[in-house]
Amino acid sequence: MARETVVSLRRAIAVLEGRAVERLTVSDLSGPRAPCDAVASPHPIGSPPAPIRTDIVPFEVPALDRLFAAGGLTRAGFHEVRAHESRDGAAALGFALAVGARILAGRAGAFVFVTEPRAVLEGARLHGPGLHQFGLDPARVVCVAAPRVKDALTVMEDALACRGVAVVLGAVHGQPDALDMTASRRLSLRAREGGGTALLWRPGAPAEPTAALTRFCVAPAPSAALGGYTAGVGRAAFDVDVEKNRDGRTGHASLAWDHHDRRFTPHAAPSVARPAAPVDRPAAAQGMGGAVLAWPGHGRA
Amino acid sequence: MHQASLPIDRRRGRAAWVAPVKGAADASVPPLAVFALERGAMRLTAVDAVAARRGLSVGLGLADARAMVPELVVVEAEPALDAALLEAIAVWCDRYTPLVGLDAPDGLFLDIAGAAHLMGDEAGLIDDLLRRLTDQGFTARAAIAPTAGAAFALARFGSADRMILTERAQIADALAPLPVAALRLEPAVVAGLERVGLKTIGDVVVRPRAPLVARFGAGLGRRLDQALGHLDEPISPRRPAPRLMAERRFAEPIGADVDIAATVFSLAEGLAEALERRAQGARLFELSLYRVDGAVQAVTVGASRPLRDPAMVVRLFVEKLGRFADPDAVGYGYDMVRLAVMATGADDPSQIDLAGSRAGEIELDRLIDQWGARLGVARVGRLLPGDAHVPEQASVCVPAQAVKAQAVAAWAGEARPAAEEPAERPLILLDPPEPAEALAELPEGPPIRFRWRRALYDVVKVEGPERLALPWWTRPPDDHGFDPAPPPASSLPAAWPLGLPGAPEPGRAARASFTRDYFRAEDRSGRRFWLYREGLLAAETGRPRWFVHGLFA
Repeated sequence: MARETVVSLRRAIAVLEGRAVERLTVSDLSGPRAPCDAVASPHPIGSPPAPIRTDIVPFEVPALDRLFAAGGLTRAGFHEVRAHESRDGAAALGFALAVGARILAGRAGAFVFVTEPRAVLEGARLHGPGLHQFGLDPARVVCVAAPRVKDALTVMEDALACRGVAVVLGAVHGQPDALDMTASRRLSLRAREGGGTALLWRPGAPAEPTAALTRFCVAPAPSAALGGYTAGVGRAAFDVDVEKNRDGRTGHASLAWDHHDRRFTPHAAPSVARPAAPVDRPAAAQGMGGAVLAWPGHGRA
Repeated sequence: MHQASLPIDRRRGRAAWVAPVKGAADASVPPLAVFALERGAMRLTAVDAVAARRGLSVGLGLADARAMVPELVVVEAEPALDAALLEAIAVWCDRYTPLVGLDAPDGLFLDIAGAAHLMGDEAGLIDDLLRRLTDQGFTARAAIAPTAGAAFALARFGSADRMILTERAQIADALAPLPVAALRLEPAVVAGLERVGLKTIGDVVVRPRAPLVARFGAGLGRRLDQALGHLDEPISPRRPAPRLMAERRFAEPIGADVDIAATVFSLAEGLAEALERRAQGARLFELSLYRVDGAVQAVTVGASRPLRDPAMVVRLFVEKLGRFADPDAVGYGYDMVRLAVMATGADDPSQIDLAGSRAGEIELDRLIDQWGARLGVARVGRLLPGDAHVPEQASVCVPAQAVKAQAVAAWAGEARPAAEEPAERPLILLDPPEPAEALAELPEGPPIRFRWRRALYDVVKVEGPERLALPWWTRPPDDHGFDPAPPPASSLPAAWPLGLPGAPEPGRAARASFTRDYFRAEDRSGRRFWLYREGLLAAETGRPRWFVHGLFA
């Protein structure tokens, strides 16, 4: 198929989805997608730095920011954060909360945390003092414990339509029927119209197709020493796989969260050997299949 | 304007529900009596009209009564059910006035000051009340009088089943022929008065007060003054009186949700005017729907900020209307709808200023109200720091309505870690703490390896211990320091335990006083845990137990 046809089709889709059209050029489609971090920035070298955009939340970690065409996460959008295993859910939740904390630092509005009962059993219970130390102001958090997934999704939609809400973080465990393509598309639309950020924390969920702009798969990373104390437990650190990215490319990055300054930093600690995430095909094709391995008999260590 | 009261005397027991007797003179109905064990003997506590005409009376022994009337049907008294029935009738009486007081076991006081004109006049009210009660199978007597005491006397001992007394000056004359028992005195005092020949209230009133009080006690003087209006007697209402209320009665009952919503809207419009005059907004609404058959359904919703816009009020209730409009709930329909404002707040001028972030905050508050109405107020919360160092109580989730300012102030005062300090408290707190099997050095070493939720974790980095001594005063007196049975699996909460720190789970109270050594531990993959060892070896327990209490990111 002629490349121009593909580009024009993608333009048409971009218009339907309300995305910026001018980002799509023929050069975007050229060449095979390079794996992991080895690819150059989509911005030509030497071009003037883009003006600071308020609709983008940069991670300020080059390894992650360069995966996004705009240099960061789209604020008015729907993003999924999942973990391969339920027990890595805490790391995924920490990553989602850190992203939320960065957004809250930049704008007014509340942080709405919506849970459903199964997610609560998997650990969706925020601890106020812990949040405070983590860098997310608990005074701005409104917790909604919905009795069913359906209610949780409705509450998320309501919150995204509200001007007083900056971030909505939903916690849904596994693959409930209520969270189908229609539901995720609705969340995506609400986020785009309302200007809020929709985050969905899904511990133990497979990489299934949704309408999310990006999907992160987060695993914990061993922490680096803090304050010169090597035996101690340091700052939160994450191994982040960008599994899906409609605003750029997929890839992988290792981040640490500086809870004092509320910013991500590159994480240098040697990562544990783990299978490389496939970047050119869905994770379902992987051996583990992103299966819901709820607390298997022994650790990966 | 006079203060008027209206006791209803319920003459029949629970059996009145079972066999409602209309036209009680019907001879084909067997006589009915209720009995109970009183002063060591089975005695009648209530008799119906047929039994009364056959010569039975309250207080007669059960055996005597059966001998006199062999076909007598007897039912054992059930005071708890009687009380519940009286309560239900009191709820129903809210349709006449919000101030309904219970006069157990068989009467009600209604403060109808300012409420009688809604039914025409006092006569209209008393007729409507007795007609509706009679239709439901109750035998009732009622009286309206300027004082509660006089109304009590007239309703129970008056010559007719409905009596109206409007002037204070008439009270003495009206009460004079009534027996002294009508004064609500102790039985011993009544007996004493009768023994000295003072059988009616008239006899007592004309005597000099001082010798009577000296002999029969101050209660007699007080009751006399209350009945005659010399002494004020407040009625203690069953429920707090609303600040404002609006109601609508229907000739034809309604039942569709749109009709109810339209009614709520028009009632809220009426309230909005009154609220505006007072420069106030409503914080708490109560909607009551009175069904034709006497059942009353009520729902209360709160508002985060003072509110008076009718459309907003309807939106608060809209989540609940479906339940009321359910065919099972509607029955024969509602013939009265009342919207009451139970609490008000000073009007917020920002209600007019709808610009900027302020508008966003207002929108969020309304959203919180809506969620509270839909899911339950306790499911929508804000985090507040708890006033305790026990981790379970260090943070509480309280209903989000109205605690925002408090939350902002409370968290602003909490310290945050310095640049080179780690976070000491976990993001996620497991409640209750989940048991783990840990390998650790004795007596006080950190964990080396532990098993939690059936997975094994090798600890590579650990910090601690942070020793938290729990409040010793929660230790039960018979606790000798050794751990009880582990908590049952069913004690895991099925839903988020929002709300205030509740009652401790079984098995937890006994352990509550053990010292805890908290460790922050990281496993080989980088998972970070907050674990604690419960109990000091030898000093508190022979076998310290380990728990995972929280997870760090």
